[in-house]
Amino acid sequence: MKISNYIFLLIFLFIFACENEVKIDLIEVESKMVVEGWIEQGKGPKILLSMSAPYFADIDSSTLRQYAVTGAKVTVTSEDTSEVLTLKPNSSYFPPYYYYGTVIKGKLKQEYSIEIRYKGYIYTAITTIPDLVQTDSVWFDKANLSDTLGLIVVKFKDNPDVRNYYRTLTRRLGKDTKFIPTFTSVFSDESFNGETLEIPLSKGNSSLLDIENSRYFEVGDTIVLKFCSIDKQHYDFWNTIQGQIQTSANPFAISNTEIKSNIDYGLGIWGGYAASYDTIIAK
Amino acid sequence: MKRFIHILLLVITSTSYCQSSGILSGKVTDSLTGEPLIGATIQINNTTSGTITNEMGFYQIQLKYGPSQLKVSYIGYTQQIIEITIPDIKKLDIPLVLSPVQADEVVVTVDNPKENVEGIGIGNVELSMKEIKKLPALMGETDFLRIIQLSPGVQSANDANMGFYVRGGGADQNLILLDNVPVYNPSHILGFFSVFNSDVIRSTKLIKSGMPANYGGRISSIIDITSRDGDFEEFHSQGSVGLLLSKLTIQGPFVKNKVSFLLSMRKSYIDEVMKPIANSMFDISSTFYGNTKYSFLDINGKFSFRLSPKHNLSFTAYNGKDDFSLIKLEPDFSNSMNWGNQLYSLNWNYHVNADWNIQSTLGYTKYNFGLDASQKNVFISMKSAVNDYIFRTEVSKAGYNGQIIKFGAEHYFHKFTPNNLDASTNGQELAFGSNRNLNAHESSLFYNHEINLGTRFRLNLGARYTYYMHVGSYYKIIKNEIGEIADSIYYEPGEIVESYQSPEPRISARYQVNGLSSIKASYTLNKQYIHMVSSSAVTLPTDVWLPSTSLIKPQWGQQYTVGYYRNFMDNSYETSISLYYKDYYNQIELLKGIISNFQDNIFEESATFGRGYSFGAELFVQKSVGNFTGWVGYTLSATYRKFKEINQGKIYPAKYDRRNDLNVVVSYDLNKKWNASATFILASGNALSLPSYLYILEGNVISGYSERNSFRMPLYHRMDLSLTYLARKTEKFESSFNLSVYNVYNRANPFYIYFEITGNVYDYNLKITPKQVSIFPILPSITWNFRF
Repeated sequence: MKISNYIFLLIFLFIFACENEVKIDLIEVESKMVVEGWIEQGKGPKILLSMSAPYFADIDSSTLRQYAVTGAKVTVTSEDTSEVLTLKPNSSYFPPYYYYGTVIKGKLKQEYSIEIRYKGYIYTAITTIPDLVQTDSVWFDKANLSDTLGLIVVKFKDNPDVRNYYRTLTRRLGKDTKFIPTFTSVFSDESFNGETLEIPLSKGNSSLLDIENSRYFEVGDTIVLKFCSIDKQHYDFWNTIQGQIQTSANPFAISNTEIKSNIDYGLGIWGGYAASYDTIIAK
Repeated sequence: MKRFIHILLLVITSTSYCQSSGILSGKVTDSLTGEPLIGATIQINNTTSGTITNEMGFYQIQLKYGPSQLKVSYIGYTQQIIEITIPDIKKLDIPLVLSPVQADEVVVTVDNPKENVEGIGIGNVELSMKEIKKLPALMGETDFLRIIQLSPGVQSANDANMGFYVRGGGADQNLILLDNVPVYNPSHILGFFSVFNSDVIRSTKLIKSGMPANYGGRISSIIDITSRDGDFEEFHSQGSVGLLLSKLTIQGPFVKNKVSFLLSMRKSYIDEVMKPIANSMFDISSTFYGNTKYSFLDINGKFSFRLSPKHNLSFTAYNGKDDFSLIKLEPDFSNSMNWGNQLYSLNWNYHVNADWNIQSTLGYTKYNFGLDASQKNVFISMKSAVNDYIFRTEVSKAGYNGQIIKFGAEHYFHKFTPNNLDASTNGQELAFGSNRNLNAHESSLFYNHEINLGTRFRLNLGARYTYYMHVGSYYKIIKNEIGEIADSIYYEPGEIVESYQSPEPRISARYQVNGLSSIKASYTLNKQYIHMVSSSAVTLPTDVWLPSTSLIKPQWGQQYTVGYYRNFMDNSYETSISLYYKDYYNQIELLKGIISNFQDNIFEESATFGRGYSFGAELFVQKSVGNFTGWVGYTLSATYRKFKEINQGKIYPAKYDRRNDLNVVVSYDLNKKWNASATFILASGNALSLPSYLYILEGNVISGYSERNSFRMPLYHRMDLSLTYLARKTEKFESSFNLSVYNVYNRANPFYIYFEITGNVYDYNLKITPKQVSIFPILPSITWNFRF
């Protein structure tokens, strides 16, 4: 929901706005460790590490080396098992390397901790893979005024006994290289606890930078929906990120809402997913 | 304290015995109705010295022993010359006879340069509509709220915003009264125009310090607006035709000299005018404009009854509405919003006798906002509203020696709907648990005593006592240690959930050094039981009002002021310098947006409370008589906030902290036909938070922030010009043209700053550029004003 953005549009209806580049001197701040790590049931952990950059830093192939963290020691621990992860290049991510493990596989209702040692600092985090919430069905729902566009709808039954947190991602086969969060990708069951619900999902943008992209799926797309249960901290993180991304186009939103990270002394997220997958063909 | 006053009285009275002059005092009234005439002039004939009647029609003048000749005049009344001998006569009431020639009805507040020095008001601004109409107007529409923002200590949020900040106080700390009833949202189109049609306003007064006890309920300021009565003698029409909106007012007697009416309507045709222009200027798809509609409408009505010389009754009604809709921007998508105020005020004025007056008000005010959005089978509707039911009675007693006693009682019943949210997806209703009203009673008693202690000292002592109750129906949620809802208690309608009470002392004093200068000081404590929480950095129609509850404590503030007032050149120049210090308690901020997250809709829980501080100095020079009039105001100030949960508990500048603020307003009557005027503003940029570092997650650029409001917008400056030509003026018909040029030298003032992100993380060519968006370039406009 971006109501305030419509208000913002309203302003532009009636005034002659103009834009100029402006010079702003920003304060130098210390670079921080950024973690993007996840573990899913049946799969090994994957962790991307980078350092934060000054706001106006240009990121290109030559400065990239500064921000990618390739020399860290990353350890994942679950119950009595610990595993030191291995670094592997992968150009579909940013930074183009990830740390991965093969010994520890994600299990439902299990806790996982990480420890990252880098240049004398230690960063830690804990996450849980919650119990799985199965989808009932998924279908393509064509828009009323269009022959080619539509949304997907997911039907599922919420567990009434616990507070559930969800995250939804989609991948169009042949079009997307990885799963992309839907337009509103995290939600909790606070407003529908225990009910069977049908939720329409809009296509998300692969990054903030292609904001002009349509929020619709197209007829002919083969869409894989990744429907995940996540824990509270994991939800809080994506919820605050989603808030920032959605209000980034609105100049009147209260900015500097704090991103709720679960990384001690760092930024980012270490999150567990209990995921179920459904594949549909849009028609 | 009491003993101190006794001693003071003794000293002052003993000194006055030594004088070879005496004091004459009395009241100037309408000979027919007995109504006190405010601002009538009493001049010692053949001299320039004299005085003006106060708000109760009283005057007091020092005269030499022996015979004197007094000239008593008031616009619209026949002048009287009175001969008296001092000390034979000490008290004299002067009734004035209504002049047979029809009074120029636009004349409103009579400028009273002596009030600057002699009045007890400290930091008050009074505006006369006649003067305001000559000043440059945005898009040709005169707006007194914009003019008020040109006085020292008052600042607007930005170009397109009616939200304003008085001496560092929040936008919700200003009480805007129309005929004694509050208006909650004074803006149209997000603040380009205020809801107040200048043709129906009689007078306006801004009080920013030394607030008398008969006003209350807000911390920072009062804007007291009185609407005009319809003409009791003849029918008139007046109006204007402008580029974006037009208005028409008709007035006249229902029963001659007994019942009059005034009806006014103002309507915008902004989208019809702007759409073609916007389409030709911007590269935005025409369907976007084609499917967008916006308009606003204001209707004002006033019925006045002269029941008898002693009883006057008036009924004011106002209804305003903004409509905005956006359809089919994307397939199956639609969005509409509407908001507006409704206000009714019944005022009964009872002149008991020459000294006593009772004014009672019965009022109702409402502000509501509604939004409907849908996309295919998902529907969302949000409503928020404020409803106030008001009863108020104020007794005033005027005594000799300039005493004014005011006391009375005020009761507000607040019925707030913070946000009623209904949403459904594919026919399934979602439960948001927020469909609730918050009800409260706010009852106050006040007493205010203005008294002269001798000839130099004037003291205003007052106090207000308020009893506030948050009442049911209400579900109070009880949480366990880990923050989960454990239980809830239900309160029946009317049952007290929480109550607060407290006194508010108000003191102000004036010491008149001589006829041309005075020193004034004041201390006030103000409580405020309602709060506005904002989803954004500016005031928007979506802002939500909340009453105090057990989780939201009443906000309050104290203000200390001292000022030196001096008139020059036979009172033609009024100057003042004043210093203030304010502190605020229980200020509210939301940690999350209202709209960005529907799932946390219990506001109290996302609210955090803290303190505020502001201090500053204001310089003011005004010339209000002659062909050349205007003012220069300069404010040097600082405003800070301190919240435990914001900025790691460290003090930070408020978003409207503004170090320097200079305003110049000049108006010059070239001759009887032409008037030229100009305004100039120069102000430090507002404080804002900008990201200081970034990181990449899932391909998105995430902004990281450090210190709150540690950046400054660039300097704001702007000059506006206007030229008014009185084409024709006869007794029956008046026609004038106003040419206004807004932002004459086309300064690109920052409206907001954003960051343009180009390139792509995955291609390793990300670039971020700060951009400034400006609105309102040079904007000429022409308006035709008429009256017949």
